[in-house]
Amino acid sequence: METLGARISEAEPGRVVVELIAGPQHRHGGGVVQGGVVTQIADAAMGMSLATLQEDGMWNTTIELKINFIRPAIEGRLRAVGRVIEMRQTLLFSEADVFDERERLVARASSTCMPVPEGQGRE
Amino acid sequence: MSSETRAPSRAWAWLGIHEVSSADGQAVLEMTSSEDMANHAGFVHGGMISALADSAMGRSLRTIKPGVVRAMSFDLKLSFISAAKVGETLRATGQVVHAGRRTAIAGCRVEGPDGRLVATASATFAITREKE
Repeated sequence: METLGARISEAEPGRVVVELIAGPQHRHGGGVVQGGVVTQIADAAMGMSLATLQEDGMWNTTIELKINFIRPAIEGRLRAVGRVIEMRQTLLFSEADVFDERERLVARASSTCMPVPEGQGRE
Repeated sequence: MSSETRAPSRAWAWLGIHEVSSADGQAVLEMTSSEDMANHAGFVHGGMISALADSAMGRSLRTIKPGVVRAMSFDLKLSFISAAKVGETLRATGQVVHAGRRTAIAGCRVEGPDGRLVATASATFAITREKE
């Protein structure tokens, strides 16, 4: 998140928005924002939206993620809106839409996450 | 509003899939699961649910303008959220997310009789559109 310059702009139970101001550092040789950058903010928004509904002391880790890139993003504010689809004992499901500054859909992602105790696998 | 009475595909007839409604980027399909659709655990096989979701998304594309004359899925992803029992009627709501000239993206929710979420799906389609 810090490396990319992304930040949380909205958070409520079951929904988290992650924003990134896209610039030249996020673009690849083709001149558009690299897919991994878009995927990162979508993944972060999805994981955090799930965390808002998990019990205290629990976090989650992504075990599967799919993304459709719908239109290229070049620069400006990108917003990843993550939302919870369903939460089960061992599996958590979420989706995210990524919008550009003109509110156009840039990407749509879905993921499956696994609950883990907070701190596990993180420094 | 698409109310064309085209004959359903052989696969639809075999699986008992029928269209409930379709309009404005959305299509609703139903399938009543039978004993023949059970997996080893006795629940509805995921492949059957995938076929239903794929069909609902394909049908949703037939409601947009300029019209889609051909739609073939080349990518399909499902999340199986709760098990469906044999005998339950599953309702799939396909929704167009984005449609360009040559590709389209659709999403789908599959629900059980009580509105319980059984699966979510997304797919990418290669499409051919009518000339406007």
